[in-house]
Formats: sequence, C-alpha cells, structure tokens
Amino acid sequence: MLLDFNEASERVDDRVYDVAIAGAGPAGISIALALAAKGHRIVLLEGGGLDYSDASQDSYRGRLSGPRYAPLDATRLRYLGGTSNHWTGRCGALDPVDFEPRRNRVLPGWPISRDELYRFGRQAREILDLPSAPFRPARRPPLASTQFRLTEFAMSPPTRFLGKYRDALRTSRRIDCYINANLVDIEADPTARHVRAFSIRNYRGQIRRLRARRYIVALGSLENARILLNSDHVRPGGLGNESGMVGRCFMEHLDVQLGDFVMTDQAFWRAGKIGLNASAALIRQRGISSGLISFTPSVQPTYYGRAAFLRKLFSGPACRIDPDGARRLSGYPCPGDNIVSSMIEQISNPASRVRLTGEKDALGLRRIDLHWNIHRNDIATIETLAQAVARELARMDVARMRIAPEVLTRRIDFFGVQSHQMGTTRMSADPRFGVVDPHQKVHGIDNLYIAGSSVYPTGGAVNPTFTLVAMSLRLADHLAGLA
Amino acid sequence: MLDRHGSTSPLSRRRALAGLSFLTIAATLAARVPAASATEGADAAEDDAFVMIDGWVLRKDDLGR
Repeated sequence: MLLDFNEASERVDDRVYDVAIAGAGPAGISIALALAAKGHRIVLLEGGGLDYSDASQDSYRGRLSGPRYAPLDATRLRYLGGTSNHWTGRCGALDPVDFEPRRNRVLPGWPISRDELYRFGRQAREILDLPSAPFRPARRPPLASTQFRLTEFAMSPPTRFLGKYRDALRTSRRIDCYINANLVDIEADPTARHVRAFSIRNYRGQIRRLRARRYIVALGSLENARILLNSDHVRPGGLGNESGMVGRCFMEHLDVQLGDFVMTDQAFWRAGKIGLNASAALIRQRGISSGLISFTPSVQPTYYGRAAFLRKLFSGPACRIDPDGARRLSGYPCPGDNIVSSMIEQISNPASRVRLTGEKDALGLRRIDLHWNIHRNDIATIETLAQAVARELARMDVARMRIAPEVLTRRIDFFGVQSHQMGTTRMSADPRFGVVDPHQKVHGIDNLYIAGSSVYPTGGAVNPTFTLVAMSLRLADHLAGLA
Repeated sequence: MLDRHGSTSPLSRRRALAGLSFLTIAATLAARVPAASATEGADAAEDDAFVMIDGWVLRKDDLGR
C-alpha cells in the first residue's frame, strides 16, 4: 500500500511490523519486496514524495571541508526510488582480487567471500534488468596483456525504481510504503543495545513513533552515518559508534585525467572507447588499489552548468588558436583530443569522514560536514597505474601516451568523482574496525541493520549499484531466516 | 564521538579515550603502511624497453624511426 504521511500520519498505530526500512531507494525497495514475498509485514519509509521537491532535497545540503567535491544536494535524489532516478545504469562486480589483503591498506577488507557477496547476483540482475550472461568486455578479442584486462560490465536500461516498482508497492498487501515520512530519530532503549522505534516526521511537523521487530537504515552512504550520529539521546556520539567508526572511511571513485595519447594502430581504436582494469598480477606486484582506466579517442566534450553555452561557444576558437592554453583555462579537453580518464579505488581511510555540524535542517536533523580525504596511497596508485598503462600501450604498439605532469609528480590538485559514495558504516568482523558485522547488523545492537554501499569496506574499481542490490537481497534472506 | 559537540560525562570521556586509542593505532598503522611501490617520475620509464620524454612514454625503438 502506498500512503502519504502528510495526509495519513494518524494511521500509524501500535502495530509492530516485522521489519521497518528507512529509505526507499534501490536497497530499501529490494529488501522490502524480497521480505514481503516471504510473508513478512514491512513498513517502508521514504522522506521525499513521488517526484523531486525542493523541500525534501534541502535536507541533503551540507558542508564540505576536504578537497573540492560536488555539492551534497546535487549528487543524490531524495524521493521514491532515490538516486536510481538519475543513475546511468553501468553495472559490474568486484574483482576476486578485491577480496585479497593488500599491502597499501590501513584497515581490513571484506570479511565475507566474493561468492557469498554475490549469492543473490542472479536476482539482482533481474531487479536491475541486466542480461543473465556474465559481465563481459564491450569488445573482443581479449587484450594480450598480463598487466591489464578489458573492463567487464553490462548496462541497465537504467532501471528507475520509482517507475518499475511503484505499482508493486501500491498493490502490495504486506508493505506499507509511506512517502513524505522522514526518519528523524532511531530510538534506542537505555542500554543502547536494542532499538525500540523509528521516529517519523512529515512536512507538517507531525511526528509519530513506528515500531518493528527489526530495523533497517537504507538512506545512502552519507545519510546512514548522519542518522546514526544524530540519534545520540541515549549514547553520546551516536548509535553504534562505540568504536568511533560511524562516518569514517568515506570513499569515492577518483576520476583523474591521467594524460592523453596518440593512436599508432588505427584498427585497434576503430571500436572507439576502451576500458582497462588493472590485473590482479599488477595489483599484487605493485601493492596498489584497483583502478579502471578509460581511453576515449576524439572526445567531444560535454559542458555542464549555467555557463555551458558560453563554454561551448568559446572552446572551438580557443582550442584552434591555443589548445594548451584553452585546456588549462577551461579545465576541459578540446574537441578531438584523445583523453585518458580513470576510476580509481580509494583505500579505506579513517581520516576521510562524515561528521555533524551545528546547523539543522527543517526536519531538525543536524547537517553534515563531508571531510573527504585523499590518502597518499591513493595518489601512488594513480601514478603507478598511469606509468604501467602507458608502457603497456607502447609495448602493444597501439598508442603512445603522455602522462599529465601533475600525475608524474604526484601533485594532483583536482580529483573528479563518480558520485559513488561508499564507506561511513563499514563492514568488519572486528567491531574495532567497523560499524556492521558480516550480516550488516550494527555491532552491539541486536535489531538494527544497515543496507547500501555505506557498508563497503573497500570499493574496488566498479560501479557500486549491482553489488549494493545483491547485498540487500542477501540481507533480506538473512532476516527472513531469523525467528 | 571523538570531536563532535563535546562529550562531558565520565562515561562518554572513557568512550572517547577508547576511540582515540583506536585512532592512534589507525594513524600509526597508516603512517607505517608503505606507499605503493611505484618508482617516481621520469625514472619509471627508463628500463630496457621504454624512455620518457616530456611525459611521453615511448619505446626505445621509436627514437630510431
């Protein structure tokens, strides 16, 4: 049933649901549908409505205190279906090497195996409308390289969870899905080891308590940490934060322009853009993180922002007169450039974190400060991969690559991002190094779970959504098996 | 917990200290973690087969072409 909490707040009564889920994005909706299919009574809470609204989106605003990052209310969407309402649909799976120990890591990695993580991979493909075939490179034959492999992926249409699942939520007899229902507090008992209720607030200022046997927070990486930190009535510092790890180890996928290239084998580049992932052998040998390097021949830049029209108008003449100056001035490549971009894994780094500010949003929740941090080992990975791939292209005699000076000197001052927000409530078998256990239960709290990419202890070099949905289904299966 | 809007009770101070000691360990570990083993700058391409000129990674036999 689909209900508007602005209109139906009085409908909330003393009933106790089997599971309460806060956040109706890909994780929350996947879990709700999976549990409902097994006969569980679910309440699913969405802070926004059925479409974008400034009133809802405003809650995402926050402060940035680290390296330059996109505005926090620009990378995410706060209405039914969440950020799936604007994702591009690229999917892939973490590499087996992502589950091995690495020399450059500060904290432990995944406490579960890759097979276990993707136990529900087939069902995740159905949810995301992916082909059933394994992820594969966009072209053949495989590369003759031990250092790199062709990137394996598949494209979702992309699945918009609002469009695909709205009717299923509306007609479900086991799911009460409330829109305009904002989680403003996780109410714990005096021991802080058991959650008693979710406090929900609508846009009229009405607050109701909602009870369940088990609770799941699936609000996205930044918001998962935010609600735990805000819920500090019983335990100063926030729920599940005895180790001080809530909000820590925020990770992104770094998008650094590694340089440019000239083609020496036109046949190789006829298929266009190519993606290369560092091989397990290279990663092990050099002690670096995972990375995906994209080669785009003859790029046609896309300009964004209010000045996009002017930028496009002037880039043509400027690039003809002084290409290097135009690139430097605009920060964009010139039309026709052959560019090398990247998606680099960050190590899990406690100094990269989400914390609360004193400023509150209209719902009464303290806003966040994202103190993003780039570790020196992240920079080392970037430079190492640039060197390795440049040599590999030359060895195969398909191109020659020029490495950007700031990459060579490891003095990179601008890091693009993919808006893949991960970490902040990382998974660890040892409570000292994480927030949730291998079943995504918050350490020390018997009925509170976290879903989404905030639990990733490492992020690999792959888009996070497929993994996120597969893990959500695994969590639903685990909860369905509990008494 | 560690640096948000001041914890004042002895209990929360103890927790903060426990958290701090973890972070001290983490920071120490971080400091000891060897940086990835890449060699830096122009030297990296100077092995048997490659040479770097102005950032371009070339095969040595390119120079004779």
